[in-house]
Amino acid sequence: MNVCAPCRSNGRDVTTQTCQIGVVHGLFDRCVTGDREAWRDLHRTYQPIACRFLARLGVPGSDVDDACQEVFVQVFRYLGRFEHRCDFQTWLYKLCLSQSARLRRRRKLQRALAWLWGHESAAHTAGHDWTDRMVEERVRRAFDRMKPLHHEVLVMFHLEGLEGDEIARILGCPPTTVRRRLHYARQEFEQLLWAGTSPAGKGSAP
Amino acid sequence: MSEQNGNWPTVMKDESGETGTALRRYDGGTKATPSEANAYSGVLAKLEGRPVRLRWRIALGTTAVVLPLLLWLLRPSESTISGSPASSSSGTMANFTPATPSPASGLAPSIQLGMAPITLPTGKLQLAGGVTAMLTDATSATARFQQGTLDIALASGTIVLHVLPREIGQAVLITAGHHRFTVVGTVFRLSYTPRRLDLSVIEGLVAVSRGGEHVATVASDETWSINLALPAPASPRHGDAAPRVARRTLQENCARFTAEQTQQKIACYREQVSKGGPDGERAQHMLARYLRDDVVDLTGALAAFESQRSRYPRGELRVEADRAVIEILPRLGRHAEALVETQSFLDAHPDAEDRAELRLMRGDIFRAIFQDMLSAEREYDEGAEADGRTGDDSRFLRALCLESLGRVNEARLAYRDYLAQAGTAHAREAQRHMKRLAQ
Repeated sequence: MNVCAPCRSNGRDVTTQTCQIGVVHGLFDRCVTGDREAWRDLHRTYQPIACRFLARLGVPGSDVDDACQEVFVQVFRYLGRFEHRCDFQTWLYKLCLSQSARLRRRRKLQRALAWLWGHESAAHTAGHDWTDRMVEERVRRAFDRMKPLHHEVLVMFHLEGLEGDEIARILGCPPTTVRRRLHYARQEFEQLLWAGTSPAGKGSAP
Repeated sequence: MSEQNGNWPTVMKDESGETGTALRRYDGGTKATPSEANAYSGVLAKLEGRPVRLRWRIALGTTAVVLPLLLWLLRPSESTISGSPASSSSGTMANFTPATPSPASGLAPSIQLGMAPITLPTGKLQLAGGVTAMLTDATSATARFQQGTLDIALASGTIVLHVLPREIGQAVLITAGHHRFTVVGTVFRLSYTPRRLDLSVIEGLVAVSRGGEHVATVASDETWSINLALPAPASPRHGDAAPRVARRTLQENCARFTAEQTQQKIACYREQVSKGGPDGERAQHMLARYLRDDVVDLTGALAAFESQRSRYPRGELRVEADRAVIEILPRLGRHAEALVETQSFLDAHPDAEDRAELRLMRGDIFRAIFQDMLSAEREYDEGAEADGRTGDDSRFLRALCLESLGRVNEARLAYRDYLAQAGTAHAREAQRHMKRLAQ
C-alpha cells in the first residue's frame, strides 16, 4: 500500500498528490501496535524521502544507507510518542537533521584523528576541472564548511523546496529567523563555493 | 536577493546563474537511494538487536542492587501468588520501595509500549515514563502506554516498581484483581501477604479503587490496609443478583422495561453485552448511561464505562465513554484521576469542541481542590478564547489566579481586558478586585 504522496513543499520539486491524513493516521496507529505490514508501508513510503534529504545534507553516499536506517530505527522506536502532534514529515526531517549532525561530528573527529596520525585525506579537489563530479565535490565542500544552521536552512529551502513556515516548524524557530538565516546562508555558500576561483574560472563552469 | 511569496527569497536551484547550475548538478548526484528492501531488513535487524544489548548493560550495571531485592522478595514468608484479574483481589502483590532512586532511571525504555497491551517479560525492565519494573519468575503482567499514562495489569506473581515523580496529567495505573491503584504521587509501598494488603504512602497521593468503586485516597504519611481473608463486601452495583431474564426477552429492546424493572433491564443489557461486537459495545454503553442517568449509581456507571473502554478501546462509542468518565470522576470526588483523564482526552483530541469546557474544569480542580494557582492559570488561559459563559468564566478566573499568585500587573491587565467586554457575568466582582489592586 502506498500510503500517501510526500505531502510537502511549496509546489516545487514535489509530487502534487494529496496526502490522505486519515489513512496516514490509521497507518501510524497500526505501526504503534507493532503491525509489521504497517511498518513496511511506512518505510516504503518515506525511506526515499529520508535518504534523499540525508544525501542533500551532505551525508556521503556510503553512509546514507546506514544513516537512513538509523532514522527509521528512531521512527519505529518512538512512534508511540509521536501522537500526531506535528506532521509526520516534519518529525522525519527533524530526525534526519539530528542524524546528519551526528555524522558531521563524527567526520570531524575522524578528520582530526587522521591529521594526528598524518593520514590526512588527499582527496581535495583543486584546479578548475569543472566536470560534474568536480562541481558536486565543490558544493559538498562548501556545505561542509558552512555553519550547520545555515547549511540546514539552505538545503531545506533551496534543495528540498520546503516552505519557510515548514522549516520554522522543523527547526523550532520563528519564520523570521529562517528568513534571516537563509539570507546569510546564501552569502556564505556563494563565498565558500567560489573561494579561490577566479572570475574566469567561475565563468568557465558549464 | 529577489523575493517573492511574502518576502521569501527565490530558490537558488531554479536560477540560471553559476550557483544555480552548481546546485542542480550537486542535487543530481544525490538522487540515488539505497535498496528499500535491504534498508528495511537493516532497520529490523537493528531494532531487534539493540534492546538485547541494552538489557545486558542494565543487567550488568544493576546486578548488585537487584540481587538483594530479589532475595528479599522470594523469601518464604511471602509465598508466590497466583490468580487471574477476574478471580479475586487476593492473588496480587505489588511492592513499591520508597525513597530508593531507580538504578536505571536515566536509561531509555528497554521495552517499547504502545496502545496495545504487551506481555511483560520477567526480569528488570525500564518502562516508559521513567518507571522501572522488576518481574519475578512466573509473574504474568501486561502493560501499555497511552497519552502519558502507564497502565499495568498484574495477573499473577510479583512486580516491583520504582515510580519517578509524576507530573500532573500523567499517571501510573496498576490493576491487580479487583483493586486498582492510581499512582498520582511519587513514592509508596504496597506489600502483600496472603491475608493482607498494606499500602503506605510516603509522598504524594495514591487512589485505591475496586471494581470501579473508589475505596480510598491515601495521602502522604497515611496507611491503608485490607484483610483479604475476610469475605469481600457485597458490591453495591445493581444487577449482580438480578434474576435471569427469560430467553425470549433478550432479542427485544431493553428499553421496554418500566422504571420499576431496574434489575430486569440491567440483566437485559448484560445479556446483550455478553454477545460482544458492535452491539455489545452499544449495550455496554447504554447500560452505563442507564446506571448514571436513571439509577443514579455513579460508581456502577463509572465501572461500566471503564469496562466499555477496556473491552472496546477503539470502539465507535469510545469518545462518548471518555467524556462520561471525565464527567463522573469529579462528581465522585476523584479529582486527581479527573485531571489524568482530561489530559489524556485533550492530548488525544486537541481540537475537541468542548476543549474549553475541559480546560475550565481542570482549572477549577487545580484552583479549588489542589490550590495550585499556577496550573489553574494556565488552564484558564487555554480556555479563555472560548465564546459564551465558558470563556467568560475562564477569563475572570484567570485574573483571579494571577492576583493570587501576586502577579499584580498581569492581574490588573486581565481584569481590565475582562471588563472591556460587554455583558460579562462577573463584572461587579472584577471591578471590586480592580479597585483593591489599585490601592
